[in-house]
Amino acid sequence: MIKIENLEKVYRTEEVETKALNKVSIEVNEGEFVAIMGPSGCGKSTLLNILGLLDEPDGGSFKFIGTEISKFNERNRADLRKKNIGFVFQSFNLIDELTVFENVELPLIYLGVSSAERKEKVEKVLEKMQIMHRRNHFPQQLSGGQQQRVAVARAVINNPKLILADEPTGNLDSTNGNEVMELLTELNEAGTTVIMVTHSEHDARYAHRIIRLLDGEVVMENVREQFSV
Amino acid sequence: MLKNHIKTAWRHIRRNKIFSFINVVGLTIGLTSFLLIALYIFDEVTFDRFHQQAGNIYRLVEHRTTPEGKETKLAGAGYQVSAGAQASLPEVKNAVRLVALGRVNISPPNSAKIFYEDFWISSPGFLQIFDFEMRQGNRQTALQAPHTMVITEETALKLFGTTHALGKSVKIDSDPTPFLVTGVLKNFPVNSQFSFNLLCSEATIVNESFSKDWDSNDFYTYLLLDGKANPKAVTAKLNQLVAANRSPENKDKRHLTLQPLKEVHFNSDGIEGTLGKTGSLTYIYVFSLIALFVLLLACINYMNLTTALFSKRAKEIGVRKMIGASRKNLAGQFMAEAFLTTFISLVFALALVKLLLPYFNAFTEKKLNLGLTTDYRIWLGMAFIMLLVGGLSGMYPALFQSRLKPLVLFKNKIPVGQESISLRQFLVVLQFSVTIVMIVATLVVYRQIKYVSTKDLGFTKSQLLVVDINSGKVRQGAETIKNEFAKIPQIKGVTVSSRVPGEWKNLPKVKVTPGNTAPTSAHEMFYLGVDDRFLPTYEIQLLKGRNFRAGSLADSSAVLLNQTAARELGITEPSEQMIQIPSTNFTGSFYPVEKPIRLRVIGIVKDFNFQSLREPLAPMVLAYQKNPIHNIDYFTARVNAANLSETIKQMEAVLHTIDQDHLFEYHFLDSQWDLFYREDKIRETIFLLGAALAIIIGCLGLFGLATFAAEQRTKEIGIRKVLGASIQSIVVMLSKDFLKLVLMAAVIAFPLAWYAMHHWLQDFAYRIDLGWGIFALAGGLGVLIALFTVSFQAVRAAVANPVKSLRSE
Repeated sequence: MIKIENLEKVYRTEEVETKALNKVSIEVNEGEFVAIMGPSGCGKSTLLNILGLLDEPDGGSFKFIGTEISKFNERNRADLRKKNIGFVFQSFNLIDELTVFENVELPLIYLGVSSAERKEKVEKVLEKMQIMHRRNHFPQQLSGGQQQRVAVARAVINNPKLILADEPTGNLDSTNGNEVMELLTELNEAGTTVIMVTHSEHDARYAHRIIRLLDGEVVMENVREQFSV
Repeated sequence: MLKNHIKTAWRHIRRNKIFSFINVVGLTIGLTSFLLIALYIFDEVTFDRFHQQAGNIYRLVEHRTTPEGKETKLAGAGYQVSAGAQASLPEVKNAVRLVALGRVNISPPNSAKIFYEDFWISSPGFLQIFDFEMRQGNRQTALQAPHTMVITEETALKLFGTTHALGKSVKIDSDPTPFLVTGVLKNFPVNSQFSFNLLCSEATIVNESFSKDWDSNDFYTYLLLDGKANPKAVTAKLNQLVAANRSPENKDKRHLTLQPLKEVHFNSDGIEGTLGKTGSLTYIYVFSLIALFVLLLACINYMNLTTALFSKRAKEIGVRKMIGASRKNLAGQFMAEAFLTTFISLVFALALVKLLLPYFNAFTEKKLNLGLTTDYRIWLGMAFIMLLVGGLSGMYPALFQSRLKPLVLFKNKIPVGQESISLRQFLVVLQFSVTIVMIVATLVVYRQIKYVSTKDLGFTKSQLLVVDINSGKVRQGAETIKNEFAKIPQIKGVTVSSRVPGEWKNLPKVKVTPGNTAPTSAHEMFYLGVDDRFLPTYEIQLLKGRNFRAGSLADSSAVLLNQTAARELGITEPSEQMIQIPSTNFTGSFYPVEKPIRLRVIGIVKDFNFQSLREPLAPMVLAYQKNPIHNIDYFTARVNAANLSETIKQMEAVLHTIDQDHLFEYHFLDSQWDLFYREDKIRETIFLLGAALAIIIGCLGLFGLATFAAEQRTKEIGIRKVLGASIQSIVVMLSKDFLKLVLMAAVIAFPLAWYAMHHWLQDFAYRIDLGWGIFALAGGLGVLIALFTVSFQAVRAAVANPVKSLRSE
């Protein structure tokens, strides 16, 4: 599904040049659950941003579902993103002015889905995330775990092929954190590809594969069978 | 989508209460001033244009060249011109002439109610050419028969207590035959040059001289031309026609022009006798500019505040982008917010306009109205303005903020370049320059008005009651009336005079030559006829010689001079020197008298101001009340302030013992003097309002900028605080930058304000000094206002917990 080769990203200021990603090559297959780990500043968020089509690489190739997209412009990337990728963040990133229902509904509005269809879909996913009883509340009225469930609901509302999760449990206690990880696993089992950036070894164990980065380079790749090592 | 935009916009407005409040206040003020000014301008530019045939109606203006070669223009023509034009020129479809023949007392028959009205007569064409709405009667025939009249509804109500006056009769004191009301007109609209209360058929007046009158300019004359006619060609033909009939001596010195009705209101400067209020295109331009400027500033402030708030919203916008919002979606959302804010402001503005209109009308002397009857074009304009303001305000955020990449938004690293800061700074400097100019202008006008209204005029103007002499009977009985007035206990002194100092009608001039010198060395002087009580009543000081003697016949050839006149004539000691008056000037040009009038100088009085203080002291000849040049026209009584209404009643009673029908008209001299500075008072109010508007708008702009700066420097402030900076030092640091802007504004504003106000003060012969105090005060006020505005944000930023601001990075 994703194939990157020799991907490079350089941040320049007037005097300093920092290589955030240095010739990174990764392949992620459809239906996989991959965790990306590494210390702060190792380039994992940069990688996730490029994978999520939020940032563009400075070199290398990036194939997304068979299409080379490293030279796509913002509009094309936005279009691709809108139809294929769902995001889950550490800080939930819900819109404060919108209710639970409206937050989850928003991607469908931008896709031009009719009002009746939106209602049906949103209610279905809210039921699934067990947050239906809070549908008319605003984000500030929810607990962290509930907010992250809403964020996951929003990420999956248009059935994306890929979910990108950036420290999804970073702001949650362990009970709520586990619940969110269960949710992601369920989605993955239902066929969605999941790529997750995390600091937590515990969370990473939910993945099929762990990619470890250091100073912008892939230093190790483990599959689940090797996790205990 | 739209529903979603509006819903989100509404919630956003509600969540950010302070900023929404500031935005709504700014836009409401902008829209309110715009709407009021728009109503005013609309009324002005539609002046006289509501007649269906307005484009084909022309007023006749006569151009004359006086013997001195001065050209004068008068609105009017001879009696025969209108009918002649209609009969001989095929292009003239209709014509009307009308004239006011003095004032008359009118009353319903057998009633004690008497009203003093201008006596207008007109040919029947008036109701056919002009579209004034007729409530009762037939407009084709109403003004045809003798002794018929058309009145307005207001007059009908006054006379009969009802507007149904058709067929009723009206008594006019100058005519034994009663007049029949043949038509009732709706009251004249304010934006019309005509505004009389009654109009009689000209067939009523039979006057021999009319049949030969091609020369006078007594008759206001309007021609209705055929739509295809060429007005230039008609003018040429008309002048030929008139020249052929005119008396030979006037042929070369006079000609007529056709002035389009639509131009009368704005282009009648220098045309004597123009009916109704004239307008000034300059005012229209200035007001339009002010209205647009205020509105534009409000829009800019909206943009400023919205972008200043942007960092708070970056994340929300980033999220929207990430989950699929297109640029169009986001622009739509910003636009929705701007439109909703504008709409809310418009609702407030409309309410405010409704509330302010009575005061605005009193101020502008108009009858503007906002309601269901308001012209549809006003409402259309308002809808357009709402779209424009909403579009303008929302455009910048929509274009700028929707363009940013989601990652940039997420990291909150918005590239707010230097240039956008300097644009904001430029705007604040501009706004504060305007503010300081306005404050200086207000202070100068206020002090100058105070100065001219309290300056010693050389006589005491307070508590002088001036009573008009409106009939021959009263003029002849003046001595008796004076004596009776003097018996009223509250009256301390009474005098009669031809005019009064501060005269609101024309003050005649004469040419004066000393002794028997040739008329070439003549001096122009003002002329006043007074009695022996004039100097004591007005409290004017007699410097040398003697005053007139009561009842002295010999004194009718004696005069007093003021100091300036005496100096010009080279008289230091009055000793019955002879002076001569070879010509007089009542209407703007001098005409020789039959035989030069010879007068003796008996005294010199201290100079006193008898004109507005815009004029310097001028020479004046004070002649005796019985003099060959000017009759007495006024009583002036010095009264006690106590029991005034009783005193006035007693004076009225005295007048009515001499002439029962005499209309008792009186004025207080000091309030008449205030009228000289009426325009200046209006100016003062405009400046004051302008200053207030500029201050509010400037403060909103500054507030936005301060908020923006505080947001931008959050991290810096946090670090400084962690390193031990005090709150005080941070407030000073943040405020200092803005203080610099205001000082820069003052540097720009002072020379502009000095130049403008210096120029204005040149109008006055007596004026205040433009000292540095006024400028210091205005600058100080500007700084104080700015500091107050900025300190709010500065203190907020300074007291914020540094841990929070540092963590957010």
